[in-house]
Amino acid sequence: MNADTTLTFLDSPARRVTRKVVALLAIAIYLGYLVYRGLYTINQEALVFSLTVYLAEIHGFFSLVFYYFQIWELRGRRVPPVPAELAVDVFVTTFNEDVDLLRQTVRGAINMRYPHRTFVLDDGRRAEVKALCDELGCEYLTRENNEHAKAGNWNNAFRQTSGDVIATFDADHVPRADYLERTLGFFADPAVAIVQVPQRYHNLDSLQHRVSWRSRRMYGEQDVFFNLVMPGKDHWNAAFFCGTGAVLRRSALRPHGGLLTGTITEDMHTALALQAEGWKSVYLNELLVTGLAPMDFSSYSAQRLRWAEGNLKIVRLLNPLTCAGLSVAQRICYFASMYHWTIGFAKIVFYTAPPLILFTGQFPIANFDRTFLMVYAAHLGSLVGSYKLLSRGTGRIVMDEIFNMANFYTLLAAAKRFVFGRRAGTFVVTSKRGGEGGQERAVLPQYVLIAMTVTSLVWSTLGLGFGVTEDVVGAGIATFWALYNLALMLVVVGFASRPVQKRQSVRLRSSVPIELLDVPTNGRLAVSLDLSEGGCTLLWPGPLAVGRRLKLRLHLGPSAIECDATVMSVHGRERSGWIGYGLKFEQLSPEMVDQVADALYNMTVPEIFARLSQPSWPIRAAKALAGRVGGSLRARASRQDAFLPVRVQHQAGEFLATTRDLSESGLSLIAPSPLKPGSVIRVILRGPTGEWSSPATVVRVKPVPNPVAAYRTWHVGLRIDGHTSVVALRHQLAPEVMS
Amino acid sequence: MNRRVAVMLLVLVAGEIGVFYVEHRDVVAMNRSADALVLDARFPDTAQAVLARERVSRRVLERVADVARRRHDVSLQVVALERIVSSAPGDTEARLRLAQALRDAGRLDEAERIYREELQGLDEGGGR
Repeated sequence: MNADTTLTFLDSPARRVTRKVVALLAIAIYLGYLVYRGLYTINQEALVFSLTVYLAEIHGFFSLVFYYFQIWELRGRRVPPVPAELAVDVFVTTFNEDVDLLRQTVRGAINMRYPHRTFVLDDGRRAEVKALCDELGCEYLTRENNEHAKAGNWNNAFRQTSGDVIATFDADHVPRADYLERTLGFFADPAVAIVQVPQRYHNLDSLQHRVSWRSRRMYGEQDVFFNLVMPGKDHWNAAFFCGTGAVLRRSALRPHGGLLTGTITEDMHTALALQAEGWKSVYLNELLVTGLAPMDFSSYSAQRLRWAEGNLKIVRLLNPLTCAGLSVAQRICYFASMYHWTIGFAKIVFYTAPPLILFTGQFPIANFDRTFLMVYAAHLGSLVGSYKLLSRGTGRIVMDEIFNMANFYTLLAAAKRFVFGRRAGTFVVTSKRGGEGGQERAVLPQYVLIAMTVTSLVWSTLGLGFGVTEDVVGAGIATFWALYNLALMLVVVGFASRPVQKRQSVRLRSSVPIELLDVPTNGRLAVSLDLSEGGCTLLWPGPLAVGRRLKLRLHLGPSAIECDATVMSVHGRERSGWIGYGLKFEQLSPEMVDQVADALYNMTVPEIFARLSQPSWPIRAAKALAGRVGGSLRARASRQDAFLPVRVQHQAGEFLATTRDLSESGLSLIAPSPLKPGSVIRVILRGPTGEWSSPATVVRVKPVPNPVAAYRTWHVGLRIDGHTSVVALRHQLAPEVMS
Repeated sequence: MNRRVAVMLLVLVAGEIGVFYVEHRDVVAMNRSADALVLDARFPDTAQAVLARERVSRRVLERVADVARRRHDVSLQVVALERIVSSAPGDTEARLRLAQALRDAGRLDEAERIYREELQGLDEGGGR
């Protein structure tokens, strides 16, 4: 089998051509802009300043060229049949992560369906990890030292194992049950050495996520990389190993003794070396693993510093531009991945230029006239427009700029370490718990920039006000630029002021029905707003005192658990009328913890990612318009998100579920068992102001894709007879639980 | 941004305002009313300091010229007007004021030259 035959195009031929034309046009316009700048606008009176800004713009040009080259063609993959007899080892690497966190990863690894052996590689030499392995039934490997950090740990296990392929996961990356079934088929091509899947993070309150539940959209800082750059690199056979969520061929690694150890980013280094030897890589963009992203700014910066420093240092050991064996496209792709980490140089220029202008009155651009403005407008317009178009709704310029602001100093520090070196490139394990100290110190560079910018604005205002200078236009432009940068700085500083995460486990948005067993039977149904192994936010219409102990029955899809919980906090009344209560589960047995975790990873996480994948509003509007124009003039009744507990009584019995949306003609819910289309059932909904009951007809039943049979659910659409009652329901229940 | 940082920033800005005042005391002084400046004995020194600056706004130069005229300090007025004219060579009104000030200072040749240039400009402009 040739793995290249599994490649598919993600766009239609017309769109592919359009996007290529736009990319080339944007590059041509940028080039024309740079030529114009170089010929006519270098300010001789401030030559150093002017040239510095010009060089930063040239840096941006190459960034754009590399980016557009990498996403020239986006490729997907057809998943080939899984081979019958492949010996698979699964490595879970750990050093100092919490055992509770590790437990779910190891369980996820063990529960993968394809036959395999799971090894926990503990560089922390912890007895509790050994006990965990004994309890769960996997193998424990450790060593006497921590030489070469994660790569050394991995290689230690590599020497002691013998599987044909090795799936590798970080301690916080939980694989789905079908992970191996989806990835192993590519190894039927004997040239494939690496199969990588994207790293998705389920702690959506992390530093690098921004979520809008109302518009069902999510921004993840790494989305551009995993949704665009990696599928684009896959086109050039240059997708690389990203450290976790990958399967590697043992025979490819054997000559190296495992992973390469010369850098602190052994993943890309190893991938580069393998591809230079002619091995292929595969990128499968499916949600097969989820992990944890850093929760606080210092952990985030430490992670980025490691990535940047490690990736830059690879150039010294294995320069993709000069090493033998790579195609031209592969050289460009790998070099682009390293070049990306040098953006700090350009950014510091753009952040300090406005203060310099405002303090000195000197401009980096001469002949700031109408012609220049027209050239600049064309350049900026083509840059923004092409980026939006080619990023296919994933890249968001303002968010990208915020994270550039967040990273600039870290990247400069990495570049400094690359140029001047340091004692030893130690591997720092990224903390995912958050709540660590030093957050204010982590944003000190941004504070310095804020001080520079604010004082320059004050200086310029004083100068204009008292008549020291009269260049209102120049100061106005610089002020606008400075204020834009200042807004970015304040957002980044806000990262460091985020509330400290105190919970031991990640709370996920999960609306499951909950019965309060120690309140009167009539109307004891509630719903969760979020859920973790340690507790939940309960939405309940009445008062509950802090400290009160409750008996709960949580309905986790097809299964349910009964447990005690203590009311820890009152969040206040939601707009919908519910009152939110922070609950802590008491004395959950390990089996119950595992049951909650399984429900979260198998039902909640996939639903969250599916839910938050709405296109941007212009695309939604265009699709709606196209639908209308295309003839489907009868639009479906507008639906409103609603997460209400509902008791469903049907011929074979009853179950509890939560609704997903309400419309004027019906509602939908996620059911733990399938209902027969056309059958008439009774639904009893619980809202903040009471219960509402009605017969309903099942009009649509769609299974929710889930590799684990035990957590299979169905998306059921119901039609309610009697529109007026549904309208009344919508008003009565004010279903904005998730807003 | 926490309160400590905000306070530090305010202190920084306050210090900056102080530095600005020390650095531009002469220019700041010229923002007082013309009547006050006419009576200010230190005006000539302050005005000299302003005129020695490489960059200063026309508004401040106008103030210096105006106050100098009212104080009958023609030489100072001429210097101020020369700065104005050098930054706006096409400003006829400013040039005529400079010519007047030169005449008052007894620098008739220079005043005449400006008048002639302006008249010549009028002729070339078709008697505008």
